[in-house]
Amino acid sequence: MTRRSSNILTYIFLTIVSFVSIFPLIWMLIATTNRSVDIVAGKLTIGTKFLENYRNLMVSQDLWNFFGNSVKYSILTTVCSLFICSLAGYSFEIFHDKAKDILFKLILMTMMLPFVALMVPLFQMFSKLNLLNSTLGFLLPSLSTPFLIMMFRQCAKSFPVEIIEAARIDGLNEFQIFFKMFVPTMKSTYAAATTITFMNAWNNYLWPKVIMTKSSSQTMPMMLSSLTSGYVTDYGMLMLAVLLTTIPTAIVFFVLQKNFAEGITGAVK
Amino acid sequence: MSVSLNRDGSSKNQVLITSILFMGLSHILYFKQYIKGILYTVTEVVGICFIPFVINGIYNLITLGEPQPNLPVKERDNSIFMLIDGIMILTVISIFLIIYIMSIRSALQEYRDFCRNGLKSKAQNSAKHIVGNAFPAIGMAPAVLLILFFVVVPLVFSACVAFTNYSAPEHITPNNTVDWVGFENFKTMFGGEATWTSAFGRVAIWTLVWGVLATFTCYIGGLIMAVVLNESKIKIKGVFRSIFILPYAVPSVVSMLVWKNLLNGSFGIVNRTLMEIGMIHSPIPWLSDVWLCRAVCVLVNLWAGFSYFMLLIMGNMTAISQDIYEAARIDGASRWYTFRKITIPLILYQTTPLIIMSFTHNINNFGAIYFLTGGLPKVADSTLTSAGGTDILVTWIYQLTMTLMKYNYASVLAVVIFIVLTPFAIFSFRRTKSYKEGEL
Repeated sequence: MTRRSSNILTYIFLTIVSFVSIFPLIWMLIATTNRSVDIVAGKLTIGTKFLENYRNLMVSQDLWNFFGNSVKYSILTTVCSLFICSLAGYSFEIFHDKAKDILFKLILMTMMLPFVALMVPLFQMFSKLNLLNSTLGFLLPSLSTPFLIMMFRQCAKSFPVEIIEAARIDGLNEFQIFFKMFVPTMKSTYAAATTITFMNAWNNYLWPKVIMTKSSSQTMPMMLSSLTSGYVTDYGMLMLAVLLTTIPTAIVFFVLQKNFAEGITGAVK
Repeated sequence: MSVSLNRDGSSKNQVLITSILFMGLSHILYFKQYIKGILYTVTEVVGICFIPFVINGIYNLITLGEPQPNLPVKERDNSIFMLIDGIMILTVISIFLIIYIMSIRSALQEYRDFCRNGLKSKAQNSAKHIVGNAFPAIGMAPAVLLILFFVVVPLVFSACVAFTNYSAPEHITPNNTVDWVGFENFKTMFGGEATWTSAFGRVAIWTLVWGVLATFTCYIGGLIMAVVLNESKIKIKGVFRSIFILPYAVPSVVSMLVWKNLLNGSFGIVNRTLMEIGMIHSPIPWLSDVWLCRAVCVLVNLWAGFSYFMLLIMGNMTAISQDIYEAARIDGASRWYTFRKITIPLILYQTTPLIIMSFTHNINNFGAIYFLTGGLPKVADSTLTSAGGTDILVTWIYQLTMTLMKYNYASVLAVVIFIVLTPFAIFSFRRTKSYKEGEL
């Protein structure tokens, strides 16, 4: 086989995979511009009903409130959990001794727990603590995750001990070393961690469904699920909601994409 | 009161006894570390104040309250709150004991320092210095405490519930109390009642098959795409890569919802297209035939997940040193041979932990099943057990909790997942490179 024909085959193969990858998303985009009836009838051309769908969605759902909730919860979760987990991962690595290593292994064990198993007790605890429908209630269970701690511990391994010692001699205390030296050098790990945490928080469906009992504190994934649970589903409206749910994670992912693989592979070697 | 210690190490027992007697006492008496000492002392005083509360809590944990049908609902014993309080109290006691042990160890350490260097200066005992030394503790505390209270406590709760009769319709708080029943639920699930046992067997096997297939297909898919993109001489690699990543960047609730519509039996675009081009004559029941539906789950998961492995493997491939290939080429190895004997083993070696993590993730992948099929289609025992044909253990737990309110059975399943997955995960982590080098 000549280089040329093998190249053409490669292009054909890649194009087919691309088509499969992207088709559902294009279908979704097209569906936002059509009426529900047309979508069900299989219309695959761009329609003119985008604004109508938007108006319907605004009328039936408290759209921007839910969107705002999702943004608020996700950003707060990301910021707080990056802070807490990186501090912990760094401490576990730099100051490790036998006791801390055992503690770390115990923490890793909890990584395998499915969240559904913790849902009921957490709900009971939070209702007792009066944290239902609160931002704090959303945040608390997802702030400290074994995976992030492990990721930051792994990246702290590549942080040279000599630098830390030199800084100590220069009179910096441990907090200054962490914030002024460690954090700025570990940008790619922070970027990967941001991507993962933000996406998880944004996509989180179970926990808000359990504790956000008031309709005003609901999130985008919950809205999607309620849009599909009725007897009649308006597909145009639904797909518009789907699109709006996708945009923020897609933006975060593509902005930080370059550091993502680097950060993850650095985390689990 | 003047207290003096010998510097030859003979006062060790004296220090030990003083610090066991009351937390922080030896710090104050012998080492003039007032800040540390007072902190420890206050901790113990607070602890002592709570003793009656603790005894009451533990009593409630054992009895889980008495049924009081005559009282109004609000005043009846709430077994579930008692259970949670009891577990919380046990947790706090453990923390207290750990602090106690730490205080004793710290006192002994101080004594060793004292034997070597004499009393520490004021500057060394200042608040600033103590805070500086406490960095690792302060750094780890939030993460560890959060995990303790929001993961370990609920986990223990779940494990406890597996040994109670907490289930609808007869044992739901606050109307009724819940009682300990020993291994009843485990018996029902693993052999007592044929319906539950067979449902459990079916779901457990499908969960394993799903975990293996979902991981394996994504890995192979990712590997193939990474190799094709890396080895071929095409110009617009970046464009293709970005397109492939798109499905991964989309929230799973979204992509599953879209696929659900695309594959809809009656109006889905996939069936419609296939019928129009004449490949099939009647619609394929993608989401209503059990086996087809399971296959669809795996394929849609492949669609959503292959790019994750593709990215990671591409990253690993560029990290492999070119010298190895150079050496192999000089020895006369073909490209296919170097690929099989160098690239693949190295990548496998590097990505093994990722495969394991992905497997455990898939076993617990709630979204991939729930948003696509909701556990449907129904099978023979679905009405009683609420386990559908594509339900994996986690989605079944969800159904048992949210629809049937059989919290006891849900907890049995959770315990099973934890007991099966944890040793597996530990075993696999032990085999990774970092662990062998003694780092993890």
